[in-house]
Amino acid sequence: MIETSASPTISKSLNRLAFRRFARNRLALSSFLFLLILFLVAIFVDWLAPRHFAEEDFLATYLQPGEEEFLLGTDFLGRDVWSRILYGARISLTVAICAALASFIIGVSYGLVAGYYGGKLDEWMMRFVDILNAVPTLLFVILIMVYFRAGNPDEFTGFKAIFYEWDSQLGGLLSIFIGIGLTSWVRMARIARAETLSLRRREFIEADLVQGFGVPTILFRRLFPNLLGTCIVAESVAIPDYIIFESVLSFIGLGVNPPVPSWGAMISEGLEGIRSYPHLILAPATAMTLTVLAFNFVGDGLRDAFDPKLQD
Amino acid sequence: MLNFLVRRLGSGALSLLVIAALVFLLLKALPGGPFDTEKSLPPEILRNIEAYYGLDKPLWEQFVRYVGNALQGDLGVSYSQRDLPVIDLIVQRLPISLELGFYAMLFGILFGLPLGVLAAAYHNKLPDYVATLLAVLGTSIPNLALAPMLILFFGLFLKWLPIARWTTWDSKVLPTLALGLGIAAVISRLTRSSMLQVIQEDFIRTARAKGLSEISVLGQHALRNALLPVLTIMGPILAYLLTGTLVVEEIFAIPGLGSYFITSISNRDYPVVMGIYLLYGFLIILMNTLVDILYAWADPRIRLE
Repeated sequence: MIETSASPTISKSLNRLAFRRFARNRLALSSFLFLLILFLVAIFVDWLAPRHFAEEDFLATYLQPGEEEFLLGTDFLGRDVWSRILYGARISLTVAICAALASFIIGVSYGLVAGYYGGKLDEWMMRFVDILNAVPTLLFVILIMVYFRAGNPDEFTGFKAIFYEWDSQLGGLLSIFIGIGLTSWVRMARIARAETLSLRRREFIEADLVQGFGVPTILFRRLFPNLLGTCIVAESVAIPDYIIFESVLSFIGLGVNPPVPSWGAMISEGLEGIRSYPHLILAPATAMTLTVLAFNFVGDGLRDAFDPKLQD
Repeated sequence: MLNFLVRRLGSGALSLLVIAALVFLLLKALPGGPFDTEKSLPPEILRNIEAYYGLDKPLWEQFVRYVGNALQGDLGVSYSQRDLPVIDLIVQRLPISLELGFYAMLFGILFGLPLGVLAAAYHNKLPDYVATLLAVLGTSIPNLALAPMLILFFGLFLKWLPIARWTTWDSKVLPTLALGLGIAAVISRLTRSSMLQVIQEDFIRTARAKGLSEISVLGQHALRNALLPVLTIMGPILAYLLTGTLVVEEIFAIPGLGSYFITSISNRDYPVVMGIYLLYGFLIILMNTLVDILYAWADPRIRLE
């Protein structure tokens, strides 16, 4: 009995140690607080933003910051830039969470199966991963988005019509989640596979096999909880990439549908008038930089806290 | 070594083929064809045209034909511009992108390497903190945000440099910075940690014991051995450069391949999208293979794996 009860206490105190290490990392902690506030803004943006993101005012276009009641001025359609920045936070964070979830689910399942069965199957599955890994993820995301966005929506039938309907309800976000998820699981699959390989030979899995548990039970009830921590930390390091992917997609016109405010789309719109109206670009660029930096610091902080060996 | 070479080149070619098939299938699955016009053609004429271009053949045969043509330098013709073979477009625009990528890379090495060495030499002292901060900022700020900020600060506020185009030398400075700062950051970060590891080795202690100057210990004995791990990120750096040129060329209105890739996406010019995509895949796989071979040549232990 002593032995079985020992392992949970050890892992609990290990976690507590890790959180204490994280809390002592001032940069990571303040970034975490910043993101927390950003999440609150994203959730309650309907009450916080002075105006709706699509509200146009043709008598008040291209106002400079502080003019009339507009904190950050207005854009070429007279839309309040401050409100659009706040709504943009909602877009960026939604993409961060949903794309991370999609890539997590695909990657971990793939890695679990490859690592558990091993042998020829594992070899082929990993070869496929290597091939996908050869091309930058952003290029793959672009390719898939080209596919999603091609064609005339009026002619869509069946599943594609339903998908398009949902996608346009979400302002184009659904295809972005799926596009990023379908391409970004590769790294997660590698990590999950490596963890599974090392866990598979442990006694508790052998005990499960002897007891006659089915493979799905072993994979998702027994192995999965044990690699959860490593995979969450690895995923949190990748979140800045997802935010950047969404911004770049929106920048090149494959992202959110106008007038949904994405920071990338705002940079693209502001580029035209950069000489006279720098605030139109400065605002989204700053918001994006701060958010990506904060996610980076939190991700690095988590990694260092949970695996002090990795610290250089 | 020969065995390693053959295996590596073979798997590179296979990767490229799989990527080509993926792109081919995705683009074939898109609705709409090259002969769709406002006034629809009579079906028998359409069938004749398709037969002429081999579009009535089964998919795998079309793919084999595409690959065969691609190997001979024929990547098809643009849908959106009159009389423009994709290969001509690449020949026209690739040199500009290569030039931009080369400058960015050069800046990354010339700035990142010394910074990393300096940080390692002054471990846990002020230069180290400054270098680490720069590296963190450089790797985290997306160039989509960095490029406009550089334009605003150096181009419009200080008025030192032109803010767009790719003509005189001073117009090339800001795009190079926008693309190169990230590379400098990655290289300095890796050089630093690699140097810190090498410095603890016995042969460095020997070099110091021989009474060599600190500059020769760090610059010759340590750096030479620390460079090997830095070599491995050349592949990822190329990937970063490719995706970076898309954004940077678009922002600075540089007539390179990256900005045209974006244009052809919004024009739905699929042969061009596919041609450029294949070229990118080819460049990256080639680079990765070269780096692997170079690495195996420099470190014989790798060959045995």
